[in-house]
Amino acid sequence: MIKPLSLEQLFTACDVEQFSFDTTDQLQDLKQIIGQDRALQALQFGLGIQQEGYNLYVLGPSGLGKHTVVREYLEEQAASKTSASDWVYVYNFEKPSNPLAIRLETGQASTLRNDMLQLTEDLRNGIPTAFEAEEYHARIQEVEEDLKKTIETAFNSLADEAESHDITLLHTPHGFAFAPAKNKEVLSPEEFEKLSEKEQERLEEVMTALEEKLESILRTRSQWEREARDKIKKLNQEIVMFASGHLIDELKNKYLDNKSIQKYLDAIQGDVIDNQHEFRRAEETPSLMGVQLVEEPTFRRYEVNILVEHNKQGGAPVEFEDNPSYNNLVGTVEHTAHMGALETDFTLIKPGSLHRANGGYLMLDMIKLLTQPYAWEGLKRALSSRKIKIQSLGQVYSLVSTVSLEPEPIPLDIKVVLIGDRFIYYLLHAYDPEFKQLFKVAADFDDRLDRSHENQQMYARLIATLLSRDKLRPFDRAAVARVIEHGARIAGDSEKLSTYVMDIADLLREADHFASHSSQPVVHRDDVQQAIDAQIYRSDRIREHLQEEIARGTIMIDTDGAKTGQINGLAVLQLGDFSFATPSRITATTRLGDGEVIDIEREIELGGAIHSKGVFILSAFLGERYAKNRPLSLSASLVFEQSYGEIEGDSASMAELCSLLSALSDIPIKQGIAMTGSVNQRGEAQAIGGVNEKIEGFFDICNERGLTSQQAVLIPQANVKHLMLRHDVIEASRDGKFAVYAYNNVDEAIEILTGKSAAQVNKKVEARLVELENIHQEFSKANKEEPDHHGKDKH
Amino acid sequence: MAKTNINRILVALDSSQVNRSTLQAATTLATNLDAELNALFVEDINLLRLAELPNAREVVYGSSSYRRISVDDMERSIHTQTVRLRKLVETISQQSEMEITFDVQRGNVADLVCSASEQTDLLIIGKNTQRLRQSLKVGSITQTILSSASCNLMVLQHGATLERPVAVFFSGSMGSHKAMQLAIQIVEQDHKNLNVIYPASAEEEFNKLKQEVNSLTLPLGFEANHIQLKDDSSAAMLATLINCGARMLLLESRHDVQSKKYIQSLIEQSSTPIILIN
Repeated sequence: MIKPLSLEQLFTACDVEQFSFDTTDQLQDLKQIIGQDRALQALQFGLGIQQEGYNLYVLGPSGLGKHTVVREYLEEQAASKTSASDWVYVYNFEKPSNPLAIRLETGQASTLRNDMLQLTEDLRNGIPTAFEAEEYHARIQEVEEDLKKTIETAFNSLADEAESHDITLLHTPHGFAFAPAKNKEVLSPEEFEKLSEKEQERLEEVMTALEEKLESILRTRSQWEREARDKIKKLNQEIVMFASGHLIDELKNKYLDNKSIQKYLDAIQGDVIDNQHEFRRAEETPSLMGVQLVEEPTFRRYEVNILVEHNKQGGAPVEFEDNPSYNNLVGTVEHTAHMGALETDFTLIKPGSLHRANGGYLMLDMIKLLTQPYAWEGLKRALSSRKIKIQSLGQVYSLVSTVSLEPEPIPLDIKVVLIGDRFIYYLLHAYDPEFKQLFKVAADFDDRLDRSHENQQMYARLIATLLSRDKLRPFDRAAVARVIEHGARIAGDSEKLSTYVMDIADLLREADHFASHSSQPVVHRDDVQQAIDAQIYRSDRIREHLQEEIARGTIMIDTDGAKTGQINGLAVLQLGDFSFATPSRITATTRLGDGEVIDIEREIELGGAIHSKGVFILSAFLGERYAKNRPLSLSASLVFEQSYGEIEGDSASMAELCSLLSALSDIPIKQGIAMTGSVNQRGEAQAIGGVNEKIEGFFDICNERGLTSQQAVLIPQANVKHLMLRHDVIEASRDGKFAVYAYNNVDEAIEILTGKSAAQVNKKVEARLVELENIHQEFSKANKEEPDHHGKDKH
Repeated sequence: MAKTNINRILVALDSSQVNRSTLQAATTLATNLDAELNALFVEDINLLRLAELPNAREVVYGSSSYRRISVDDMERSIHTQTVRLRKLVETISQQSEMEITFDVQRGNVADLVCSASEQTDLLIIGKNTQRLRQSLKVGSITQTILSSASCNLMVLQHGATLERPVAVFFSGSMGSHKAMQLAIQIVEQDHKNLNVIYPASAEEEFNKLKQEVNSLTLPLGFEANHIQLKDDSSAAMLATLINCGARMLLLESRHDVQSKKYIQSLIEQSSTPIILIN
């Protein structure tokens, strides 16, 4: 007969003696990351390879501490790399709608901005001063007087010529006129009439000639004025060059190695010359009711918009974008409202996280990225083109046609690290071809590690590190051992440890909290246990209700006696991060039929595919074992009593088989025993999930009703290594009040369940099946005869 | 000490665009001197005669075309000018809260202005008001007035305004005493910023003249800025005016040929308003 599992098999305790420390404050912080060798190797590879598309996707369930691990790793890598370049946007003098991007050495962005501010101030002071110089005014006066003289000479010589012909040049209200005169007085019509006809004709001819000359002077006058203006313009340019040239040359020498800045400063020189009037404008500009009628020059175009600036000693940048919206990623061009209109310029270009991380690393949360409209598309476009192009979504999708800025794209050299769960990774891998091209490296974080001696030592150090990070009380070694045991329980395996750092960290904080109630300087095992119990209790409402209904008999579960065709199965329920199990009554009925096993759950579409698979397997087993060479004249029904929800999984298939065998053999099953496990076509037991929860679920019901020492749970042998049972179950087992049995196949299981040998049960099953077959044959014969008889009657 | 009483000021307006500044300068001066201000516009008889001539025509500003002119056209144009000037005088009178009379006469401009100057203490005329010709030279009408006007005369360059500081040419003569007295009168009420230019090659003479001026200004509570002018050329005078930043010059008007040339040269080359004291 199979014996119950030993206490050591039910719970693999962590040996406190293996730890050489008393409390965790004696342990050094853990620098390396435990249990994630594969993921770390992938990170190392992905960050090291400098080829296009080798960005990383860090996958694994949340709570493993992926963010922290990746960030720390990236920061460590970044520290040893050279700092990234600074980037600034400046005004494009040739095409103002396309601001120019300039790359600078690390830390130079502020220097350039300050230099440009200083240059503007110097120009604003220097240029007006240069124009105020007496030499300038003298030269302007020279030009003006030259012009005056030229015009005056022309007019005077014309007037003199007119005078020599007794003609005077007059200013009329609208222009000039020539008139015959005597002693500078115009002749009266009478005096003119008295002149001889010849004299009159002469005067007329002379006046016509003079008018032509006058016309020529007036025409040439605008040319003289234009020439004078050109001279003044040239002079102004000379003055501006004199005042600004050395200042700009000084800067050019300072940034000798940067061709972009050289070009930019040349453009500034040209602009200063072209717009020197702005530097000379009077300080007060006319205004009406407080509104400036003439816009004051702002000189904003000489400013430098620092997009990103890094610290020389900072290493490569590591950025984590918590809100990866499209704008936050690729940057944006902001606008300001002015007189009811939206305005913008290059100083309103704002960087995105791609700019800040350029030359280094950018971490993004995949779920957040995908839930932000167009952010994923924007990121892919930037990575594919290896450029950051700042465009509003309106521009990208041609939704707006208003003219806006189109800043010069910035070359992108970056490693993007996406952090997300496995499901999204596989989904993108299957459906997004660009994803495969751009994120070639997957760093897969494992959620558990081997519970070896070395790893338990490391786990203790991990606990110490988490404690010191959160400034919590130190744990004594028994408390550490209890945390490790709990780590194995979270992993659902006595030979493994959970790498859900978040869960462990939560447990540490909560244990510290309970320790603080008794003002203990050190956290003990009891505090950890109290924290674990409290966690369970907080999530336990539904389980408690179900248990209460079982206790009250609303949900019918027998925990003593024996019944034919009835067995206690165990079902696991997952609610949030809490899972528990509850027993469920499975019944089987048999009758004459055609070898069909009816799964009622499947018939009403409450059974899932895997559950149905389990039922088909057990049907196949029946046929294989009991009716290999003859028809199976059986019809059986299987049902989960009082189950009104969907049932999935095959973990009850062995229980269903056993209840069916009980029904066929008419041998009752002990109701104090619950069982779990799946069966294959050979009748062998296969491992199932949630074994600890299942045992504890049945134990809780039995415990509620009073333990009888006859109660037990049957589990597949393959699940024994997963056992990390609750301490009250262990206590009951120690006292012989409750037992856990492991079985290898249906025969072992049925022996424990019925108390009969497997041979006895099988014999009775076979006999019943033969009986059914005989009945079936008799019926067949009778049916064959009856149609003939009726046929004859009909004829 | 000889004193110049300016009780009546006559400003001669013409058909040019600079009348506003001339009138404003006259208003400023009249306010300073508490004098009566009269404006005179002479409708040029030569223009009407021109219009009466057969084939009378004019070359229009900004156009190379000729336009025939008739008497009616000319009358209309002159009337328009008169109306515009009357409005201008009224506007400036309102702005300055000063009564300005406006008289219109028709005839030879120089003759009528000179004739009107006999009834006034100071005549204000503009220099080179016809900007189109850009002439640096003093025009023929101005020249006639300069030589014929019987009162004190102020010549304003185009667009000039009366500002501080004031400069006065002081040689110790009767005329220069009058100029000094008027200059003191102008600056005393306002800024007391007075430059006195002395035509003295010798230090002794300079000090003597300086003392004389101090005896006039110090009792009034201010001391003039004394400038010694060793060179008596108009160029030296112009340089001095620029150096001391003078925005108005007062000097004695003398009628000998050399003085006339000196004054004419000064008027031609300087943009500073000049008051000639008879």
